[in-house]
Order: sequence, then C-alpha cells, then structure tokens
Amino acid sequence: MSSIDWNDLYRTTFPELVRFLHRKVWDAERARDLAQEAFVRALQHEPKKPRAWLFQVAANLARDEARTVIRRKKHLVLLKTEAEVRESSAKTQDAKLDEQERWAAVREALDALSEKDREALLLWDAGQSYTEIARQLNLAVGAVGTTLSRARKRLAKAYQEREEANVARR
Amino acid sequence: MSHVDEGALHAYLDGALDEYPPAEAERIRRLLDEDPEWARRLEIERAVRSEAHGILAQASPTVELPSLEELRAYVKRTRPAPSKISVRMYRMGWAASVVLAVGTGWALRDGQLALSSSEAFQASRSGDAPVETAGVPSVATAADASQQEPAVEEIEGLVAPAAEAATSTRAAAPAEAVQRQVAAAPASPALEAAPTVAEEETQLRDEVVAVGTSSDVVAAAPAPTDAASTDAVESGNVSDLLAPARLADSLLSGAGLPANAFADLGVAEEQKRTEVTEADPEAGAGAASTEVAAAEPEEDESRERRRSDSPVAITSALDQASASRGNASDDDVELEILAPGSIPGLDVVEVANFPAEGTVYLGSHITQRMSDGTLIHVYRLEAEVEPDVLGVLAEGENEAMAQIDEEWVVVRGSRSTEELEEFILLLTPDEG
Repeated sequence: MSSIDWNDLYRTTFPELVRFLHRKVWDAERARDLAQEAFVRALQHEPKKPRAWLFQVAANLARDEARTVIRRKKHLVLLKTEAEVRESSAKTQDAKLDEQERWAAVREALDALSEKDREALLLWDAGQSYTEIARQLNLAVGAVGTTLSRARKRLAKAYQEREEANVARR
Repeated sequence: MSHVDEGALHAYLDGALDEYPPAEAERIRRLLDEDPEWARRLEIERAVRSEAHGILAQASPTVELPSLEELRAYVKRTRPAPSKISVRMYRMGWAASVVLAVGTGWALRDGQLALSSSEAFQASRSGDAPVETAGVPSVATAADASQQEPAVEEIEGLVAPAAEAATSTRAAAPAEAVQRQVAAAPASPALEAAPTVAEEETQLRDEVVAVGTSSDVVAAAPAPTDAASTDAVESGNVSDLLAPARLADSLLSGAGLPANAFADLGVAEEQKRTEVTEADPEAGAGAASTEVAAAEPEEDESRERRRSDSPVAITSALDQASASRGNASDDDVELEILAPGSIPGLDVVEVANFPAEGTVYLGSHITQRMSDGTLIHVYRLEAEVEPDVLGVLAEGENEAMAQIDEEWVVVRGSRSTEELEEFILLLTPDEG
C-alpha cells in the first residue's frame, strides 16, 4: 500500500471530481456515479499520482459515457446515501426546472469554447494545478494561464450573449 | 522588460506563479507591485475570472460524500478474480502411457508378438517383475498370452486408441492429445474393427517420430547401455536406439527419463503453478497476460496493448499453457489464464474466433460460465462489423451490447437484459 492519504484525497477531490464530471455529462447523479467509479478504480490500482490519475480516468469515463450506446445501469446504487434520496424527493418540480435552465445556460456557454479551453477551465475549476492541467492537456505551464484567460473571457461573453438573447425573446 | 501577458495575470490570480520559473515569477510580482497600469489590468482580469467562476458555480451540483469505507468495501467485494481454465495434467504418467502404448504396438508388429523383441525387452529389464498397471495388462502379460486370441485383441484395443491419439498429434498439440487419448485407452474395450497389427506398426512407427520430434522425448532418452543397444550401435541401426520398447523399458524399469527429458517443452520444473495473470501492468507483460483493467493514464500504449489481445494471442497463450504441461510436477497442476476481454469473475470455457469456421474473421467469441452453470457469450466485433452478423438469439437468450471505440461488444446468455448489461459494464474500458 502506498503512503497516499486516501481519506484526505477523497474528501478534497471527490466533490471536485463530481463538479468536473457534471459539466461533462450534465447529469448530477451520473456525475456522482462516475466519480465513484473513478475512485473505485483508483482504490483498485493505487496509482502513484492519484489526483491526476483520477481526473484523467474521470475524463475518459465521461468520454466513454458519450460513446457508449448502452443505457448504463447504476451499479453503485448501494453507495447512494439516504440523504441523497431524501434531497432528491424533496426538490420541487419548479426548483428542478430552474436548476435545469441554469445548467443549460452554462452548458451552452461552455459549448462555445474550444475543447482545449473548456477542458482547461473545467480542470482548473475542479481544483487542478497549472502543472496538472499542463500535463493533461500537453501544454507548457506558462501557456495554461493564457488558455484560462481566453477561456474565461469567452465563457463570460457567450453566457452574456445568451442572457441578452433570452431577454430579447421575452 | 516591462510587460506581462494576460496569462501571467491569471496565473497570479490563481496563485500559480510558484509553478513558473522563479525568476519569471519574481519579475511579474515586482511589476504588479510597482506599475499602476498593470495593477489596473490585474483588476480587470480579476473581474473576468470572478465572472467565469460565478457562471460555472451555477452548474455545480450538491455533492454529498458517500462513505469511503463503503467504497473500499465495494472494491474488496468486486475485485475481479482471474478467470480460470483448469487444466489437469500428469507429468510422468502420460509420458509413460504414451511410451507403453507405442512400445506395445512395436512388440505386436507382424501381427504376432515378436518373440525376439519381447525377449530383448524382457532381457533389458534384467529380470524385473512385469509391471501391472491397474486395468492395463503389462507387456509381459500380453507376451505370455500371445497365443490367446482374446488377449491379443485386448492389447490391440489398447493400441488402437493410442495410435488414434498419435495421429491426432499431427494437427494439434501432440502431447496434450496423446495424453488425453492414451489416458482413456485402458478403459476402452477391445475395438472390433481395429486395424491389423501390421498396419498399426507402420502407423506407430510414423507417429513415434512425430511424437518424439515434437517433444524430444526420444532425443532425450537415456543412452543405451545394454547388449541390445550395443548391437544396435554396432549394426548401425540407429533407429533401434529410438525403439519405443527401449523407452518403455527405461520408464518401466523405474529409471525414468533423464531429468531434462522434457526441458525443451519450455517450463521450468519449479513452475508448478503458472500464474499468467500476475503480470505487473506497469512492468509490461506478455501477450498472454495482458491485463485489460485500468492502468496509469500516462500509459497510452495500454489501449494498443488491449487491441493486441487478438484471439491469435489468446490462442497462443493457451498453446503456451498446453505446452507447459509436459514439464509439470507429478501433482495435478492448475493453470490460471486470464482471457483478455472476458468478464471478470466468470470461468472462461472457450476462446474462439467469430465465426468459428471459415477464413473470415469478424471478431472474437469468449464463452464463459456463471457459477450456476449458465453460459455467457461475449462477442467483440471488429470495427464496422455490425452485431446483426451474430444472427438471431437462441430461445430464452437475451443480449446487451455497447459500442466502444467503434467496436461492438455483445453479451448473450439466458439471463435478464439487466444482468447482461451489468456484464457489459464490466467489459467497458477502464481508461483511455
């Protein structure tokens, strides 16, 4: 067994991983499942650099998710907490619609970015360091800031344009 | 130089300057401290950064941490067991059986028990008592009963399957086929339509060469030391040195074959248990042991490696395992073979090409068995081959399928679709 502090890694990385995945699959429940799947694999394989490994595997899982035709079963049902179930059932339909609307806006804005810019932004937002992002995207560390700067500007612009279009429609 | 690009400003805001070269980081810090114009630009970028963060935050689901202990327990429960193909083998037993059967055939040449050979055989045994193998008349017993028709028939009954076994060795793994069929021979009744002994002799002469060549048993036989051997050497009749009777003699007299008799079959003596599944994925593995499970993400070759796990490679692995039987210990040896692309945890029954016959290769077909005996078929089709080539489902069968990297993976079996989908999940790639 390596000297990895799995408890700490899990506590700090899992939420980031879910956020990262959610912005790829746009299904909160599925994002949690995939994050769990990534951790299950990490626990099985005990990679040397688990954090970077987790994000790489998560990215691949999300990609496979899009490619795979099968309706995936949620085979980690046993891991779902009752709290999640309660939360889910308590949400009103309006709140869900509102949430979906917000997510759709963000998704559309993100879709306006190039793939590399989007990936860099999501990785940064998920807590990855410049060095980790550089490694995953095959960039120089010095280029990560430039990529993020461009991505943030484009995201803000795309989001703003969507909002303006919505206002005009109403 | 008094310029800082926007990327550096974002690195500053992100607290990532420490990841820059120290001198560059120091220059940026100093410039932002000293130059009001850059300080102003920094505030603009800060606003952009904040706005982007706010947008993304709208798409942040509530995250509750499942228990890590539960995850660990899940990992422990589901850690895939290697698929096993059990192969039982008997080291010297089968070799002795082969030589005994071949030797018997030799002794029976010319349709009668050749007394001279029998005598030489007996002489070479230096007066040892005939070996009585359970259910198998010893050669000496057969010789004594050479005038009794039923006894000869019985011996022919033993020889025929052995010859049959030897014949089959031309096309496939010699040792394995001979082992199986010779092992079955004692229980076989005398064959009514057995070939004549003369035919058997001719056939067996050929097959002894085939078997001997393939395993080098003959080449590794003990050097002749008795009178008959000396005669053979002096007469220049080298083939006599390779006479099956002599080999049988060596074995039956307890001398056995030299320790290295099977050395070229490729497996060391101490390899009683061949663990093909234990290869370290980071260290690289042979074709037989390629692990399909997740590997380090930086190991991009893993995908290529997975692709290389063609049925040919799998067959090669099985062949390798079969070959290793020749040098196993006296104990039964169980080989564990991980069939790449199989469902973890289920026994692998068969690995074959799809279709099984013909020259067209459309994919692989792995048959696996669940603990209750249900057979599950896993088909991995080549790119651009559609699942409909598999034909209609058998009665009671269901199927689940997924397209991964343009290749269809189809699982069929007499289980519910949901269960088959679970299997599909286990077969999906672990990484890139």
